[in-house]
Amino acid sequence: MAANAHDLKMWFVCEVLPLEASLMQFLRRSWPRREDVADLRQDIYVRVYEAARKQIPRPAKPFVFAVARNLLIDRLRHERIIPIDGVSDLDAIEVAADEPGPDRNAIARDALRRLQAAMERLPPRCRQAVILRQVEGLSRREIALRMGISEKTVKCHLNDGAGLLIDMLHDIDSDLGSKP
Amino acid sequence: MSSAKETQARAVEWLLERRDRGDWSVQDQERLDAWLAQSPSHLVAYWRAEDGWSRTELLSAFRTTMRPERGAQVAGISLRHALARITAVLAVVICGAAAAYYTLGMREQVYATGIGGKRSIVLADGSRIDLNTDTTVRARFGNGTRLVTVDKGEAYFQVKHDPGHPFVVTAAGDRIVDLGTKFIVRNNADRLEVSLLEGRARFEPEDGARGGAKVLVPGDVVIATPTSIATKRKTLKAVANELGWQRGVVVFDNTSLSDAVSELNRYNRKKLIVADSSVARMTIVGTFPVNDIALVLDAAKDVYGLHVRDDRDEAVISR
Repeated sequence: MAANAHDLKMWFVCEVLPLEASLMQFLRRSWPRREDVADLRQDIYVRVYEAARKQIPRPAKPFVFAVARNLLIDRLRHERIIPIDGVSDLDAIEVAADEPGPDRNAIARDALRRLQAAMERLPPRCRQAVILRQVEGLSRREIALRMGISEKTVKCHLNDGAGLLIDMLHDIDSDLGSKP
Repeated sequence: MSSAKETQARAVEWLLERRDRGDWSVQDQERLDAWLAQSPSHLVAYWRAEDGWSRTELLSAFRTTMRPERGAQVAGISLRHALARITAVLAVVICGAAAAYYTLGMREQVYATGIGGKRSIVLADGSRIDLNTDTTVRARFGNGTRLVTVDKGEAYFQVKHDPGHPFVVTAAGDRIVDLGTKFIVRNNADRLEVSLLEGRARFEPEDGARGGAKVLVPGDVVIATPTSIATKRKTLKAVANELGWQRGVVVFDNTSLSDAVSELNRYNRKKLIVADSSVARMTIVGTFPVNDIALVLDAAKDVYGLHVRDDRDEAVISR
């Protein structure tokens, strides 16, 4: 039976996205070119989503990593440039059984720690714009006035800042990547 | 830029546009829906952006604990200090709401009524919410947003409109955005009903699959289930009748007995049961106090000539 849209989204957000840090770690370890991993991750998400549309796989973790491994094997075959131990590494990947989750306080503290670390890594102007918006609740126009820059520049800072935060909040080790 | 990065940049742009713009229109929503429908890659990137950005909502909690006075000091905010303070009081983070918001227990106000209960809340902005029987709503204010979630039951909203700070009600994942409005939201298991009494509101389905966003005018009633969305028109009088509970009554106007009974059962611990289908199809007209089951049973006996077996926890109506 096809999954309904709401369940599918909830599943993706609550069960797949939290795996991103370990998925990225796996991709960085297994794939020789670091600049490719964001694309690989995105392709994995699309494959996971397409499969889940037919039926939501539970538990999510072994499924997501199986998709990841298959995708890497496809790419490795296709590119034919990778030393053989790159491939053998794929077999070594362990998918840890899900341990009992940490209690909610711990999760909350963890969420805050991540947010704090991510905010500290933002470029200063982006950070300032994000703080004015999310902490003070200012509009773009008000932020522009405060920072003495144009609304258009505010929009750029916010978009860049949001993009970086979104990456880091899913995976704190993500590269700050293309600098804003 | 890799294609994943490009897609993500686009997703972030959409997300912030939708959150920031007070004048977000049905056409804008349609353009966004079209972009999301274009490729699963767009859709998952948008979900991911939404999820990531919702985690920064924790930042808005600083607002009450600290308030930088001057722009010059903003960049120098002691994040560490404030985060430590928040951590001390932060109790719950849940992943659950449709937008998968990380919800801060401390900022969120929960209002609830039990069976037969009724409650009026006046919010800080002057908006008013009336809760009907067996209802739970959560209100989160701040950060330029006014967000209320109807977890279950029925609530009547009279919103003080403020174009800069949209008033958003979510229920079962769908969103109602006020455009200057009085409306009723009723969230039963698997069935969401939104009725507009005054002004304008925009109904935004959680996903594009059941149709796009629509602007409601007075008399419009949207009925959303997990698989479908339908809009029907009612007379304003019929919509107003749905607010009878504010006066402690329900108004039946050629309502089938089975609908009438399930309506009354919302208000009372003692449940009415209709025993056979020919009885269930009979219609009923009149205004009944929500908590006076005896009156309904008398009407069933005397007016309709039905048989009533009246026990302590339930009453069965049959031929």
